[in-house]
Amino acid sequence: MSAEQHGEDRAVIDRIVDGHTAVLLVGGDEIELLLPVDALPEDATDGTWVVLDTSTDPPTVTGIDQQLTQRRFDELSARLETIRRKRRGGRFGR
Amino acid sequence: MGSTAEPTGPPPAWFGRAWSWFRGLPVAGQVLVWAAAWPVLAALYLLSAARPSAGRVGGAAALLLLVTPVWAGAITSLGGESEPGAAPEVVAEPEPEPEAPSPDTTPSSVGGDLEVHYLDVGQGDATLLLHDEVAVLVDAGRWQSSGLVPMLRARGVEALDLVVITHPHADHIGQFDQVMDAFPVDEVWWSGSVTTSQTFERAVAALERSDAAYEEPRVGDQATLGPLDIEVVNPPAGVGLSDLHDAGVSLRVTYGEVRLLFTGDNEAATERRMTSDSAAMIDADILQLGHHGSSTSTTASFLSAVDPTLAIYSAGANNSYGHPAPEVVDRVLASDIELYGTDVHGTILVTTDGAGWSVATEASGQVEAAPSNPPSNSSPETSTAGGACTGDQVDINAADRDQLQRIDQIGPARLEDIITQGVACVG
Repeated sequence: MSAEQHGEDRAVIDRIVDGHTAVLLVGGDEIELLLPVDALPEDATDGTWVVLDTSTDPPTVTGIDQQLTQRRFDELSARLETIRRKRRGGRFGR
Repeated sequence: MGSTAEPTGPPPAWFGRAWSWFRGLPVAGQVLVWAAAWPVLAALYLLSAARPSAGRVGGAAALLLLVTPVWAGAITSLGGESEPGAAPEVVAEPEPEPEAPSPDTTPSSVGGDLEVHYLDVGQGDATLLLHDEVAVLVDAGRWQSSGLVPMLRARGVEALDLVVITHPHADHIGQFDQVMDAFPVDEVWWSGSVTTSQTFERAVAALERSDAAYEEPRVGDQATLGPLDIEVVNPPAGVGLSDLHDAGVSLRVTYGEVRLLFTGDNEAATERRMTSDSAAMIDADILQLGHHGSSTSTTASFLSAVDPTLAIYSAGANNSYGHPAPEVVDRVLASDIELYGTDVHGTILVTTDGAGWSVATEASGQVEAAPSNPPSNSSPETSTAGGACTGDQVDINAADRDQLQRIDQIGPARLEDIITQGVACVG
């Protein structure tokens, strides 16, 4: 998730606040970047990984990294499902 | 199993629990327990007779067994005090007693005080509920900090019975991994929503390392932890998990006759669902305002349904989002609800004996409905939406219907949807 080439990085959209401000976490250090929602691709939402052009100020979102988004969602869903399965039968009997 | 290291020396959590259990027994039951203890005393006596070297140990143990209830009763009656230096410095006026319980209300059977620490973690959420018998953490602050664990330690936390993460945004789940690595944790509640940030991945890894029980509670689930009764008021079973706010875990915690409501970042649509489907479970004395006091939450109808006496929000000073929203502050104050915020007051401590409560704050101040200021920019690396309008820009706070429809994707139908939703004031 670190810079793949000069002037380009990956960021994840952590959340969209009040419908107008997107909170992005940039790179391996998850540096906070706030952008107006209209600076995002149309399909971008919470958890979407985007390609960031860091040569501009502020950085510009140039597209969605669909593959990275899907891979991380699938991996983390599977890991959480394993936790659910292993620890079933808790307080609420599920 | 949660315990606190209180300088006044309260008994360990297991002892408090045993003592509470013993006190709760009818007289006949207490006599029976004492009768059952005598064989133990006899065994200790025989041990001391058979092995003179053990006599001192056996005698001391027998004496301890005899006097322990007296000692425990005295200690329990003292209650717990926060660690000096960790408690907020400025004490606000004591809150008047909430409305008197109705005559048919069962008297509170809780012992000691419950402390609710609305921790100042900046623009995020972390609330600690602390009692001699139980320690519960609701949310774990922001991802860019490592301040939460020291804050918990400073308040005497050595273990946590329950950690609830309302939803996995980085300002709520941020230091979950550090908390899990720092303390023994009995049980964890998450909403079940998945996101893809590295903060979330670290949280999943911490769960994997831990042996804490894991639950995804749903509306109607109830739990009793020591003297706390916890009811789950969101999300309902079967709700979609892709909207992290809507699927967020919301809880009502009851201590004696005092009820506290925590709704994470639930927004207007979720508040409407709770009001219609779980109305009986959202009535509360103390409300933590949803979504840091944002205009997306704390609708008039929800506030009316909860009908709190005291409201608290968690927001960072000079945050980039304009939280709390002036209209929410106005709505709360106009309802004669006492209001505190971590941006103004720092950490806020509510102490309740199960009937009334008092509020102490780290800093003095008053939450006031400010004029609608543009959000400030907290970091040179960030840019924010909002700010003074220029040129042909539409001021969405003042625009009429025609002006709003100049914005892409807001046509007549969308505008009607917005108006129908009832959370926007459109001229």
